[in-house]
Amino acid sequence: MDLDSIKVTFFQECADQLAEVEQGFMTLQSDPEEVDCVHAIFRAIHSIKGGAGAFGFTELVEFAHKVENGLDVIRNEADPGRDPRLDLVASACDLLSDVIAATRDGGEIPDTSEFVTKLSEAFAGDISDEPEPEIEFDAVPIDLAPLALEEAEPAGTTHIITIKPTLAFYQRGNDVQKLARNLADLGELSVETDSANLPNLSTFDSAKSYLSFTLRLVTESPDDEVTDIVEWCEGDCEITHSTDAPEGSAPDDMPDLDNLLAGFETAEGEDDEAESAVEAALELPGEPLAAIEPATETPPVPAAAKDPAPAQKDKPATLKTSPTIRVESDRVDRLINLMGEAVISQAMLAQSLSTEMDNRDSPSQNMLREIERLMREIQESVMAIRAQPVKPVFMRMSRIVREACSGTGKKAVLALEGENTEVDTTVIEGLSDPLTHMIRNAIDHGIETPEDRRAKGKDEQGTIKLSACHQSGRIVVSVEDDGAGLNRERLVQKATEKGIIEPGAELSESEIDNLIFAPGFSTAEQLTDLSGRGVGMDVVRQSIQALGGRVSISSNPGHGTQIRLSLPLTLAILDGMVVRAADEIFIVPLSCVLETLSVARDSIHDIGGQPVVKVRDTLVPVINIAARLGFRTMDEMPEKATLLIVESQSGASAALLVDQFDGQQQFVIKSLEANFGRVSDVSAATILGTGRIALILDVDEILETALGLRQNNSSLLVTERAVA
Amino acid sequence: MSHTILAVDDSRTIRQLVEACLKGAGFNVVTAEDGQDGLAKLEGCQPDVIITDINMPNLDGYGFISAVRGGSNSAAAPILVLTTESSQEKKVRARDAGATGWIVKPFSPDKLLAAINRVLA
Repeated sequence: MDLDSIKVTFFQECADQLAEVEQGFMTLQSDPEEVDCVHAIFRAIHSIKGGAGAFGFTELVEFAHKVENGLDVIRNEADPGRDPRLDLVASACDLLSDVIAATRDGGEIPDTSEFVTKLSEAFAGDISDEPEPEIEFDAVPIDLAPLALEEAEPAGTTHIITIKPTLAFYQRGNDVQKLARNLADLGELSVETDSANLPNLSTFDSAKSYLSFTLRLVTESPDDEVTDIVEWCEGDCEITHSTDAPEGSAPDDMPDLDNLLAGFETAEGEDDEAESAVEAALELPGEPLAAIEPATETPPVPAAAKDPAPAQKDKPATLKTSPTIRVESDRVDRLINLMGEAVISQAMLAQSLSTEMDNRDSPSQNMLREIERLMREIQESVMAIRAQPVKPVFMRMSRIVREACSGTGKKAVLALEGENTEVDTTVIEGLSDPLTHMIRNAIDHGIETPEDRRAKGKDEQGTIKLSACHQSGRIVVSVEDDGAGLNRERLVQKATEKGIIEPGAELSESEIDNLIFAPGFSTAEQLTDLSGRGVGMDVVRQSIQALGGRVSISSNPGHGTQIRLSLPLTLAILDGMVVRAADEIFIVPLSCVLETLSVARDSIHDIGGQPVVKVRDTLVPVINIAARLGFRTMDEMPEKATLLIVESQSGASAALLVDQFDGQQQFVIKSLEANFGRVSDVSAATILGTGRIALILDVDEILETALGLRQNNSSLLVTERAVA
Repeated sequence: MSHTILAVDDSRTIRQLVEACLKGAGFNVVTAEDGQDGLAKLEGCQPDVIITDINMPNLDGYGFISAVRGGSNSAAAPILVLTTESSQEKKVRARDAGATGWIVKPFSPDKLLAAINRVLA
């Protein structure tokens, strides 16, 4: 058995289970009536324990067991969703996830003793302080006093087992033959069948069991082996086994096992018909048997068993989700790379064909278009494989909220919105750290203490809202708190002290708010253990930018702060517009392009050194791309101006001046930073159908720097400045 | 022809372990991830032995066993409960639902095979 690969599965599954646990706690937080969540959490922990046991992860099993015990108590309560001990269990689950991580990575297992004590105290009244339950079989209270037969031929102990099977015994899939065969493996077995109770055929009830058997086993095997075999049938039938074998109690004429078994097959003597009727009845599935009251011998059924799994009954039978497979992301990456190569080759083929024959309706051109269509579909499907809901990362944040609250003595809950929004896995992976930091920050600096909140007439418990949505081809993730909002006076003061802004500089509100992203800026009066870990919000900004994303912030003093991250859906493929400027080819991401215009050169005016163009009564600044990138001098302008009105993530807009458009197309993004180095105004490169390399313009950066803007300025502001 | 075993467990880990162990011993193995799935899988195979977990979503082990006994094509098949529950109460409850016997976790291939061989004897 390939244990290692199953171990991998185990840890993957643990991750899933932990996510389920997080989800459960989150749901309970907002809706304590969702009792199913308590059960789901219990099951998840139970599963983790079960799997861990198989690999002998003792510490993990023991801690999971403690947590499970607590949950077991809670889930059996009248109102489990409101049990105050859920918080403790949630924190214990956080630690459990650390224990799992340490077990997986072979690291040092965190100390669980504190939580074990806390859990024991919290559930002291409910759990008897039993030690770890015996993982082995419980000893079954069957009197099996061994008695060595003085004169018996085979040395060993004799067990006498009398079985009078009830109907239920057979219905449970038990079988005297099998029982006998199992016992026969242990020693010498003889069987006596008692058919005295068989009625006449006329009164024969095929749903009843009439035969009984006496099994006499002489064995050297330890008693518990015998007990183990009989244990499954205990209660199903009248088993009396005594080790006391009275002289002559085993008659010489007792049929041996083979005879007995033969008898089962053919039935005994004149009862042939009856016997097969019994067998036929037992074979019959369903109603006929179930409807009949079990034979009177059946032991009383405990109340609990009469209504198995009541909670399950209401559940619809259609809870199935479409089947999934797990694939290592490396494999998908390889596929995506190949796909990228294929897209390039196809573009190259299109290029060479179009130069060779111009007839658009030629068969080859038609085929080519068909291939293009297929390629696009394949590409979309491949990209869809990588798309994952942001939920797992979002769920992890509830732990951050819990930890941050316990570290600061504040109260806050996490609310999720749009957690099923899908985005490329690489983007998801990159989101975790920035989100963690932002959420810590929101609690540390945003949410007020419970006392302050009460004084302000707010709910003692703050809310951190984490949401995701798709917006014009990008994913927008926002972290919003209902705390105090940014203290702008303080921000300006700090920034001035730190030399980030000139004293007396006039800044708009949003410019002030964005100061927190400035490198080396920290607003905390004193660095707390929590968010002041030597990194500021500038690190958040950098990591989001590394994902091709943008950060913006808005704050409403007294009511809270919202930070928005806007990220590309994928880091692999881009829809772009091909433009030419000074014989160079550039790609402008399509998501930035609002419209394209062709204007005469003289409609571009110069206002205060800044070229502008009037578009529907609004003055829009013009950026001469070729000049900006150094392929032309500033005054050089093409005869006929071609303009792309573009908008940055922060909402600023401008017109990019180029020589001409070459249509739009999908491009495989090739990182410049990974292969070459960071180039300003350029976000990445791509390979064209001709095999030529083209640069993908970083519209946001171009707009920000060319217009001398900080982030988050409205286009109105841009126009005002341009005019001024 | 080798025997077919239906293993029902919501833990992927345990399913893989059971499958690897049983396949290694020459059995055909069909797996299902909860009681509902187990009932669905029954339609496609007629297992010689059914192994099931107790704590499962959608339809737990007790419900699954009752449903199998109550009218599936495998009403008479031996059903073994794979459980971490060692308490007598749980065992009794499983048996009252119709379980033939049980195998107590932690999972061990020897225990599993021994139990299966017992019901296939």
